[in-house]
Amino acid sequence: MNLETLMTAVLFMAGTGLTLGLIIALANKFFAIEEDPRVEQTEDLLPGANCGGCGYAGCTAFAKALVAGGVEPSKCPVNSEEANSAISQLLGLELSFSEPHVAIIKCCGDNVESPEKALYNGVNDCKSAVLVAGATKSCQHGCLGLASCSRACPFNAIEINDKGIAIVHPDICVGCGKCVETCPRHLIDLVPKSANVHILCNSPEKAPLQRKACTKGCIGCRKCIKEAGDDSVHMQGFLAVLDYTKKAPMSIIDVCPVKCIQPTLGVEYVPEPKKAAPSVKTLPCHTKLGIEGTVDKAVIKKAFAQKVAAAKAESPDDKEAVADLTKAFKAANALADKFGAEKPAPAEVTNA
Amino acid sequence: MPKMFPGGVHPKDGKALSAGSEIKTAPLMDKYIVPLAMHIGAPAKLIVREGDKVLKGQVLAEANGFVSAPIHSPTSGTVISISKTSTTGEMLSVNNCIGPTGTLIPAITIESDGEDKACEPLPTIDWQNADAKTIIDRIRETGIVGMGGAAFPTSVKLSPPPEKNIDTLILNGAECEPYLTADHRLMLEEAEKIVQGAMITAKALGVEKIIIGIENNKPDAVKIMTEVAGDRAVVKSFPVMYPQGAEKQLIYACTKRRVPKGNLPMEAGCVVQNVGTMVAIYEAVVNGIPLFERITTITGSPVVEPGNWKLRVGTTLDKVLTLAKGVKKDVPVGKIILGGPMMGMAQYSLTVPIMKNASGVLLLAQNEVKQYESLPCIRCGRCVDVCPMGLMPATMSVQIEKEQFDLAENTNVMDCIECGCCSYACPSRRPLVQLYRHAKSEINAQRRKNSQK
Repeated sequence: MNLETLMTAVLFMAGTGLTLGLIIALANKFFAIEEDPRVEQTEDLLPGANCGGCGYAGCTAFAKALVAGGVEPSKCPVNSEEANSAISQLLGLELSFSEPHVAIIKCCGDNVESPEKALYNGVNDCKSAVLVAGATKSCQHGCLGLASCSRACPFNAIEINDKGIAIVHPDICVGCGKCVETCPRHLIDLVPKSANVHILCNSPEKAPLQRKACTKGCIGCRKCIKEAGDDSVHMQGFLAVLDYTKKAPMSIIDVCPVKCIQPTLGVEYVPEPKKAAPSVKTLPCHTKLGIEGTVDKAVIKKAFAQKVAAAKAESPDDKEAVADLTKAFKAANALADKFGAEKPAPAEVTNA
Repeated sequence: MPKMFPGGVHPKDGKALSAGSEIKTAPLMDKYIVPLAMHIGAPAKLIVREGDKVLKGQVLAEANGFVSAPIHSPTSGTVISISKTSTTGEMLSVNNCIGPTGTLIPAITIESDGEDKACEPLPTIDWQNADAKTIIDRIRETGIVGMGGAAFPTSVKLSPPPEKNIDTLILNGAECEPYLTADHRLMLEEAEKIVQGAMITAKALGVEKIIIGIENNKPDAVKIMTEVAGDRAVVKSFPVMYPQGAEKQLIYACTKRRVPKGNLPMEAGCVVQNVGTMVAIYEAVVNGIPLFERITTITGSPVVEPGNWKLRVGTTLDKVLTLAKGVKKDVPVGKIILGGPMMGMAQYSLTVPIMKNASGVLLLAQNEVKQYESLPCIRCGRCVDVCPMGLMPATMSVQIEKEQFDLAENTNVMDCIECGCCSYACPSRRPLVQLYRHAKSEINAQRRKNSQK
């Protein structure tokens, strides 16, 4: 191989490279598409999860919509406040805040509370299960636990627990709402993140049938409505429903007899100490039993038993004394019923 | 004889259990739970109220739209409960019933008064001289639906658009579904009514040619039908192959015509009707009796006395089983299926009522059913071999598992007739038909969404 051949090859390759490079450079100049640089900057500030919670196809589409105007950064359910304010500054928008939401699954009847009524051996998908057999859970309205919502969640915020029920982890959930449509029983709602108490039942059935299907289903007793006092809880047929625009007191958790009202996952609820029993004036019936005025039936019963024993020890044939004491005992009990709502637990009575 | 269509399977047919037993009329029950949606289409609209006294054959609910059918009372008595929904429109388990698909469906409960007093029958139609509209109107008002299983309102099927050129009426007596013998017995015992009904239907459609298709595992039915039909209809017998009785397969076997993809049989110039529907049409037009009873096979190895019964709609499954003298003590029941073993639905409740399309109640013993674990597809292609529609079940099932419904739509999942041959043949025990049903419902939902936009 001589030098000339080598040079020809090198020069030819260099020439080709230069020509092609020139074509690319020209194409870049003449066929360039002008893009607003702010779109890219905005997109960098968005989370990039492409969850679709904003209603657009992905973060790029949302960024374009933001730059085009008419949309607020707070429509993105995932973004932090700092990033949102940065976007607002970049685009010269007024900063607005919207309350962050989380998904909640309105069912707490796991496979212990609402057992399977038939064996289901098919596609592990809630929608499929509902199509072929109406699904096999005793409750016709409850969570099936076949994880359709969990698979749809782009953030892995929904867990199917070991008792076969879906649970949303509120600290991971960003409220994009992708799971809402996947539930064939329409159990998933988006609720404000600040809400700390939820009614975890969606069954409109009447109490007797509800009790047969699930031991944790709402029986429509209205105790929570009484406890809440305001209209933060209302009845929808035989089902208590929370109005999340008004904050319901956490004390409604205590009054629910079926325990379907529960605090948000991870929130500790310590019931308020019971109010001291109201006292009543010491009346003749109390004096007779030798006690202060009280509404504690256990105390009344104990005093009565002591007095009767004493009377019997003194004169076993004196029936009048016992009758008097019984009269006083009944009167004191009636007073206790009238003024004291709190009834002593059965254990205390038997001990006395 | 060669095969009449590609694919197909040969399941154990089990028809000997009940084929020899004559049709018996069920005694009057004390209570009937009559669903309002015994047909494809909109549920019927209630016109009775709680506490009303009704007579046998009286209209309880009227058709709610074109694709719908009225519901008639199966006996005389009192309406003790009517369908109720919650304030948000959800179905409640009180006053409604569990349907064959396991979900709650609206229903009326009628307490029988024991007299079984019929209301005035509708006037007889001189069908030979009547026009098509009179006959079709009668079929509509008597609530006749396809009794082979799909329960599509017959009047709709008989009112094709005028530009469609229909020249053949095909009667479906194939009864390819294993275990079921209701149509078989009907052909043996009511052959004349079937042929008369077919003549009425042909008159309504304005067609001359009637073909009766029967599988040749019923030679007695073929013989009787040929004798009775004479020159009024042609009886054709086909080799035994499931699903011979599927609409498109039967049309091909009878006429060698193919129904174009995604179309109805009328594109091939055919209307297919079940033989049971023919008897119902005969009763409606000639005797003026609406549809509220049908022949149902009660069978299966655990049943003490398998047989064919004339049951009224609304008879619950527990009563149906009592008619068959219950189940044998030494054979534990594994499954109760409404319909046949291939396309029927397994039931978990004995309160499910018999509907207009209940062709059979099948009990399977525990050693006949098995709980399988579904395994991944091994691409053996057996499902492709047996698919009577020429689809690719294996490919579609994987697409659906990955929730790629658009791909499945391109692979023609919408043409699946849900016959169950692929699931029957699959060595990996994959729930194939269930996957296709899921895909179909998803695709239909998507189509509805797109058309709303």
